[in-house]
Amino acid sequence: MKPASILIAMQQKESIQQIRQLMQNSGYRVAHSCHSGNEVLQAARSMAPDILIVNETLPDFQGLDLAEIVIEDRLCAVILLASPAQKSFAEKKMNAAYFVCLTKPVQGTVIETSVEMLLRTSRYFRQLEKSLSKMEKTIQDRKVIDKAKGLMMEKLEIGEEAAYNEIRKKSMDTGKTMSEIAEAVIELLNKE
Amino acid sequence: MQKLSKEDVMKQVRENNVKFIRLQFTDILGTMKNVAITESQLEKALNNECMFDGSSIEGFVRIEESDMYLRPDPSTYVEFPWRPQHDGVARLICDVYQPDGNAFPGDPRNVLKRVLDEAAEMGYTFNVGPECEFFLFQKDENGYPTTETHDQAGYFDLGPVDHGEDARRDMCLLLEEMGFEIEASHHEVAEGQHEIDFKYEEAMKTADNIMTFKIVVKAIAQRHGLHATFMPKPIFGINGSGMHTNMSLSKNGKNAFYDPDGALELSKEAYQFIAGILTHAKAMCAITNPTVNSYKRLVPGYEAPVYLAWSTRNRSPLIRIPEARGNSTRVEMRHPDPSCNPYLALAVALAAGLDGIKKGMEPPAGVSENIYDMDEATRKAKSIDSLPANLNEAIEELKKSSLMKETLGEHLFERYIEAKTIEWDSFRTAVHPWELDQYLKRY
Ligand SMILES: Nc1ncnc2c1ncn2[C@@H]1O[C@H](COP(=O)(O)OP(=O)(O)OP(=O)(O)O)[C@@H](O)[C@H]1O
Ligand SMILES: [Mg+2]
Repeated sequence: MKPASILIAMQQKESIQQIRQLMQNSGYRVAHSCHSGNEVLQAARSMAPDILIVNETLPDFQGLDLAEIVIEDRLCAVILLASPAQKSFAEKKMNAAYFVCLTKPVQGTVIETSVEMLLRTSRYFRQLEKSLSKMEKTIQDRKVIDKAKGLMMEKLEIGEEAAYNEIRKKSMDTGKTMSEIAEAVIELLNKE
Repeated sequence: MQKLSKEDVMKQVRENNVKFIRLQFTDILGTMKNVAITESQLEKALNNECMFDGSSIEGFVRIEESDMYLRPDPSTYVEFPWRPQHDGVARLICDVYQPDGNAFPGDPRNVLKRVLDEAAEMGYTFNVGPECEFFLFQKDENGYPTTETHDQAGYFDLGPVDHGEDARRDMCLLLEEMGFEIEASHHEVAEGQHEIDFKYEEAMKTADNIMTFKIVVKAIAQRHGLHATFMPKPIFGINGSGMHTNMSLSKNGKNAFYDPDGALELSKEAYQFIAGILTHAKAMCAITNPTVNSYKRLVPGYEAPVYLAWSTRNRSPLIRIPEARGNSTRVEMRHPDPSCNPYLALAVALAAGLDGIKKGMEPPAGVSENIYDMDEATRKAKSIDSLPANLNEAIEELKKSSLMKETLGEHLFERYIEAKTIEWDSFRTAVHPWELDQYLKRY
């Protein structure tokens, strides 16, 4: 596995320096450090980091708002450094698989452990989400193909297997997926 | 797409777990307003029982008429796709009504509806396809927009990344998810400038689409750390942002501008429509080009029109007739810019075109040469007039026009002129950086 890359966003140079040192000592790659939220949004999109470590306030953005965008747009996982008051609010709001909130002041070992944990959970969840959407797609495809089959059986008066074979053959001949063929069939037969 | 009914909306809200609904309408200056309701208030809203205080909204009403009702148009229901993690948010575009049950005369959507009804009585449907241009700019470290198109700090080790392209791709994807048919999307001539064209629709739908389009573009730019602006001319010396407006009328399902036997394969109605637009172009300018800045775009040399003429080839005049014929026969009006209120802009354009048809107007001969290359005498000889030079002239032209007054309705007409006069005065009396540059040292 390639070494995880980290994006750091803090207003203070010293804070950035501290965390950068910590991350590098633990063998992570610090891809970039930002002083503003807009810089984070651009960097997260062009550098594909694994984790963003962000302070609760930046000059142009609230850390939590930034975390929301970054997670919603599937850019990376986020560690938010916040006050105890914000922590419970933030954790209720965010999806735990991609988000950890640590209260300040935060100890080096705590950040390290959190990064490690978040890397594992977020990668695991990404995998799960991928297979889930694949499954959804399969179910969707099957529904469309079933519908096309049904229409063909009714309107063309052929058997189920013949209908299925017809769709499959067309799919192989044209290089299109079976569900694409099925959709075309449905449109065609519904028009008639 | 099929039209949604009240019941369909209720069903979708339930099934898709939508928790908040934004009831949207547009004020006279083209700013979208929102009244947010929860899903439990939806039924009441769909029964037209949702009230709001109109006096809180600029240019909307006088104090004594402050209670207004929103009537959501179910066919405008759409869910916002860019906050997937959240409880769903959807919107409905609304008409504004008075407590006495009459349409509110200050509602721009209502103005467009009236002209569309008039067209319908003449047997016409009005189709419009806009070409919206905008700039994507960087923000400074405090989050304020700049007019810089590149990250000047150059802090990315990955080499030059075009964040703008990336953002525009996301905009197109989201717009498509929301039901837009994107026809073209590209970088424009000017650096940092972009254009996204979506398919033409019946005018009300297009005006709604333009409002939605602007919100999506701004929201997605923000999520990319950029600022999107529809300001007509943000930078001197390069092209500004226009909103070329492609228009056609159809009658009995057929394009009424197409006539295979007509001159240039255009129908009589097409020529009359063009004549109407040219006749009223100066009067409509304060609506189609509503800001002080709009007139910095309408200068020679930057693909924006200045002169009142039409052409099948050249892009310098106000109106161009694109080559396509048959169902795609259309008139492209090139002066509007995206700072306009789209409901009002389409209303005045249609009213002008219909006036041309009703009065059987004839347009002057089309021009084939570049008008910018003609000298003034030639232009005079061909009686080619020009657009207002600034917002003040445009307001004066608007004031003189009885067609505009009738189209906009007295209420909106007066308020609009009042608002624009204040805008002009504040510009006129301000001291601008240009003046300091020129005079501070010299005098
Ligand atoms: N019959 C029609 N009525 C109204 N609009 C139409 C009609 N046919 C096409 N359009 C619209 O016209 C627009 C065409 O824009 P497009 O950018 O292709 O034209 P263009 O004027 O040739 O481009 P440009 O000015 O950038 O060179 C689209 O929005 C399209 O949907
Ligand atoms: Mg055009």
